[in-house]
Amino acid sequence: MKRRANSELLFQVVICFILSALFVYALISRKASNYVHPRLYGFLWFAAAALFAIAVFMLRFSFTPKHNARPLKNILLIVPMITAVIIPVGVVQSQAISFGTSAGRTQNASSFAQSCVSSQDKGVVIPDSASSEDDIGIDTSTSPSSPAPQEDKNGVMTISDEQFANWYTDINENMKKYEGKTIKMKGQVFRMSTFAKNEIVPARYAMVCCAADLQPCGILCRSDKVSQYKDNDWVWVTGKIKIENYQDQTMPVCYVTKIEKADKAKEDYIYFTY
Amino acid sequence: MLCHNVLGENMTKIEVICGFLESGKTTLIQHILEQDYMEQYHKILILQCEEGITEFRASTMKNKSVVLDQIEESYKIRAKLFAKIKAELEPDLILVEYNGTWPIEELLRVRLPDDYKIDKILFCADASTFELYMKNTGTLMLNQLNNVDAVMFNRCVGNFNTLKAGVKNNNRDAELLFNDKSADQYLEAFLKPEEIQKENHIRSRNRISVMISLICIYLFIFTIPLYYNVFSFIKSTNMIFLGILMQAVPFLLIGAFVSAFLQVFVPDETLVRIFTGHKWLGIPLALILGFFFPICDCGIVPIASRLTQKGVPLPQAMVFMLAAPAMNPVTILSTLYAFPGQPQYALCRIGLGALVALLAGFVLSVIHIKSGNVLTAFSTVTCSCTSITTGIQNSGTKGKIESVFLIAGQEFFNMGRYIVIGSLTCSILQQSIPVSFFSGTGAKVVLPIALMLLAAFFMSVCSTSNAFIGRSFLNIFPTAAVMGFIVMGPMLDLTNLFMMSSTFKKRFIMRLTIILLAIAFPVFLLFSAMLKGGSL
Repeated sequence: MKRRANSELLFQVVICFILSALFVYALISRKASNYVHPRLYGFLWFAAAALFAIAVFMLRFSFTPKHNARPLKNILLIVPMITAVIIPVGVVQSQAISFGTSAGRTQNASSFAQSCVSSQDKGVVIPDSASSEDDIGIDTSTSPSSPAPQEDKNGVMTISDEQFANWYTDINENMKKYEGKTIKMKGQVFRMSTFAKNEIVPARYAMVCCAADLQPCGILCRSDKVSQYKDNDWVWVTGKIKIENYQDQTMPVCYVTKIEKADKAKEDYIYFTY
Repeated sequence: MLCHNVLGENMTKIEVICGFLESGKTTLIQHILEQDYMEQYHKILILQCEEGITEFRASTMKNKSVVLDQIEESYKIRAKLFAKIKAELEPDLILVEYNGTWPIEELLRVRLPDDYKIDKILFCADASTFELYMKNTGTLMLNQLNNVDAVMFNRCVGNFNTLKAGVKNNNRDAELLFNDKSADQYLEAFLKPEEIQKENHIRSRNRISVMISLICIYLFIFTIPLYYNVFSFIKSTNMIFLGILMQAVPFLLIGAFVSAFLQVFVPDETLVRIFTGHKWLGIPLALILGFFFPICDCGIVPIASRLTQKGVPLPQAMVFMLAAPAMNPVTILSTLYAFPGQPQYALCRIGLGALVALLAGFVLSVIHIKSGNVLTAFSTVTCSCTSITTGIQNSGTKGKIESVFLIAGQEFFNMGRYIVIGSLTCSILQQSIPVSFFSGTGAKVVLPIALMLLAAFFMSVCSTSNAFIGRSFLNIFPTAAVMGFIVMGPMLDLTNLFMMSSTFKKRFIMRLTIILLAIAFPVFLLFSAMLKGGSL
């Protein structure tokens, strides 16, 4: 029997290498965007590099044997690695929507109280029907550069995927600007138990920081035709904006003139950038 | 012919007894050999690597075939030696009296015959000189201390806490034996044949149950994708869990690096001078320094203890300890990132952190506890320093940079466990607590604050990343309670208390906990009352 190495340290080295590799993989395959905001990519690259460096330095010392080494001391760190690898990427979804609060940014005291109470209920994962392994060929150059939506010659303002986040913030802050305008937007059908039969929200899920704070964002739409669409169907909704008082809150409501099936957006989530 | 020993296996156990000259090694071996049960061994070899003052007395030994061999040079300990021992002597027990100045890995590295095994390493120490040796021998003693299974103190008088802390700082798992009775019990457990057999039985039974549970977990995990819908909860939780971890890890690493950098490059004396410069400016200065001190809560405890040791008044040191992790630049940066576009969270964090730290400092200086009364021990090395790192710290810039990486790595692993537990708890809570649970008016103020303080206490999340975890609690808990979590978490958590207990007396830690709670509750209740009117 011989002891050539410090199993405890060696195990740590292995953990560091694997973690670093996982980070790099998540970044290169763009899978990271399912978990965290693209703004944190720089930090993740740093983390991957730092872990790699630490592992290299530790490797040198892990060949000094240690008598009472406990390699399993850090076994807990294996847990997230295992779950990351074997549990497939899902979509965290919520059952409640809070209007007028652009995910995390609270505009006034009343909506603050509301967002605390109603923003996220039990999340439900919707199996990613489109095929969960390849769908993220994401171009993360999100909204900041994309111009604000303009009306075309028919007077319809089409909101593209890239514009959604900025437009959503804007319409909640300056709803007067949009009153009476015709808007065309894309989102997933979202219903809350308190909604009337003819009400849906074509919602996009917005991430502020990480998967823990995903929230549906969208404008309440009214139409008799919405009932034929199931929850989470992707739809194009065209309609006129009116400002109404809904459940003690002044907010834009869209009266639908046209609703049609849409393709899934390229990105699963929208990201708020500040 | 195989010589079966008392265990029924053809195994030779090697027990190592190390420690400095005159620490009682020879006496211990003599004592072991005088035990009744030693009779059952066929042949016992004593390898003496040091000439002790005490001589062995064969007459009182229970076992009659004891062989003594002396080794004068460390290079003689090698594979050949043990091969020769096996061929010529065939002992079933080898007691090594190891030289206190030889690095232990010289022995550990040796390729032993297949059926030879290093069983236990014991460290003998003279209680009266332990502290002195600890300070002056540097890596020599730490090297051995780091590897031992148990430490046996001789000539103990009075307070054991100093000794306890000295050992535990370096080797958390080592058993401490202060009197003959506990020592005898410990020795029996691995030397008395009947006890060993009992132990083996238990161990093999444990091993089987561990195997079975591992297989169950394994099967469970791999069948998760099959129960796609049933386990949507798990999938969802996993997304949140990984999300929190992925954003916490980089900040944890930054904290670890900064802390390691300070540990290696900034001498403590500089800090002490700063704190004791002016009579009245001490506490505010401590606060401001804490503000600019980019270190996470795990790194601050040892520094605060050392400051106390070196004569910095207790209130100052405590204010520094409380303020630094709650509101240093790294923390503020991460808070800004966690609450994008909402700098008011970071401002509130700084304000509340400063308030609580100041109030605590004020209370401490009013009740007037002297530093000497709260310390259990001298502070030796910091939380994550291993003997490896202490060895190279003095060896030029290259060595220093190397130790920065090593200490950072250790710190990362120390805190990594708590972060994994923390974010797992958090994601499960988030997915399972219905929002309506807290929607009642009564539950909006008092209960959430209590719950969040409790969560902060048990989750022990590092200050550099707890803003992210707090952020995700915002969906369930009101803002004031989340602020409580973010601000109080680094000040009052399980990990910190554990670390503090190595230097401070338990009574003081209790008192500090009570003081902090007594301050935190009114402060955050007031804060939530203020929020009612205004906005955040």
